[in-house]
Amino acid sequence: MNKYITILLVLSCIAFSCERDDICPESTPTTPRLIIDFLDLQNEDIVKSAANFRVEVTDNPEMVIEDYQGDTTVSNIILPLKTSENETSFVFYKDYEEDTDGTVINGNPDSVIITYETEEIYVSRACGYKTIFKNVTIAVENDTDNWINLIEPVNVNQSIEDESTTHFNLLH
Amino acid sequence: MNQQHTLTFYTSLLFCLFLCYSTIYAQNEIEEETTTITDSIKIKQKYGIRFGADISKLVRTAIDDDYKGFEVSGDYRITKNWYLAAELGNEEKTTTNDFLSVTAKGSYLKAGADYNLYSNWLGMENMIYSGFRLGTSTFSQTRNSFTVYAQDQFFTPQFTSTEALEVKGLSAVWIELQFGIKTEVLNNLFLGLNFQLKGNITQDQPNNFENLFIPGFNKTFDSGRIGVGYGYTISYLIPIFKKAK
Repeated sequence: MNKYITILLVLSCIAFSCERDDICPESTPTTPRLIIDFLDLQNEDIVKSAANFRVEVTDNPEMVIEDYQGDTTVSNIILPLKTSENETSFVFYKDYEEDTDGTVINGNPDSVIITYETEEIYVSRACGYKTIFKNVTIAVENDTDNWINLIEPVNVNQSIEDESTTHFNLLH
Repeated sequence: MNQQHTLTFYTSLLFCLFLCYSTIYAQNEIEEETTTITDSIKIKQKYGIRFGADISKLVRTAIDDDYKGFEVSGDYRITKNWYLAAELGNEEKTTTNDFLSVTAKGSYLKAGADYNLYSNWLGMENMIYSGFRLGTSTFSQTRNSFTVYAQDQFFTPQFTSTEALEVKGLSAVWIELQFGIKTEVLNNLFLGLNFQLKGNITQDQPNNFENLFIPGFNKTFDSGRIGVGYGYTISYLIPIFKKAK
């Protein structure tokens, strides 16, 4: 009889020793974000950073990207895109400054419109689906005083499928 | 990671087989000893076809809103210890988590043999058995809804689709090891309990999707081909043959 108990014990150990598969591990690549490098307009091989850089959402200026609040100098940025729409618009500020009341006293805002098509790709049972972005284009709205000259894709028909490489170059 | 689990699985499988073998071997030895004693009393053995149903699946159907299923089973004694055995069933199971809701629906057939490891007292027909099955299932997977997963939760909510997508005509094949008991509780009426260990051979995966549950095979695991299951059966023996021992 002991033998049967041993067999059952061994079997149940095998059955329940599998890893948890209902939590999406952080190491699993899911919906990618947009990566933009800041380059010098005169010489595209040279990285040129922007001081006091700030990113706001155009429809809702209260929404500010946490890493870009206007007090950092950046030469490379990562931005999330809306997965429920085919367009995400941001305002990029350079030389941003606000006084103690939160009133903007300095800075050059440029409106950036990112358009794309979305596609949902299955990842795993725990992570479900991720969105990848295809045919991504970025337009900078013309104003009297643009600090951004151009945001150009690295490849033709630029898509955003992962976060391993730069997707766009910002020339200023 | 995956490879390591597969390795663990096969090592454990070998270990189990070894255990079975040693049990059977030990039992054979005992039988040889006992057959040398001659007995003048004739006891009639009854055997034939046993039909049954899985009670656990019926109970689960009643209490679990996400599950519907039944299973009928049968076995037929071909030699003193070997039984041909098969199960036929139908299951529908909805798997839901924060990002995904999927319904698997389909039928399955498992066929194989059981080996009785238990030496009964005279006139008793109980079983402690180990068996194997080849299982096949045809099923459909319906993706009821999903929400896109994004680690960056700056823009919420993420894209959600509630458009149901059904993929039909999928199939799977697996092998199964069973361990269980069957006890005669009333004349010809048996209660049984079994534990199943499954190894997937092939399965059709739906496009841009995955089988999370396969009828008959049960839940699939990310780590490999392994599957588990259990059954709680009630069965009735139709004693076609009665043979003096």
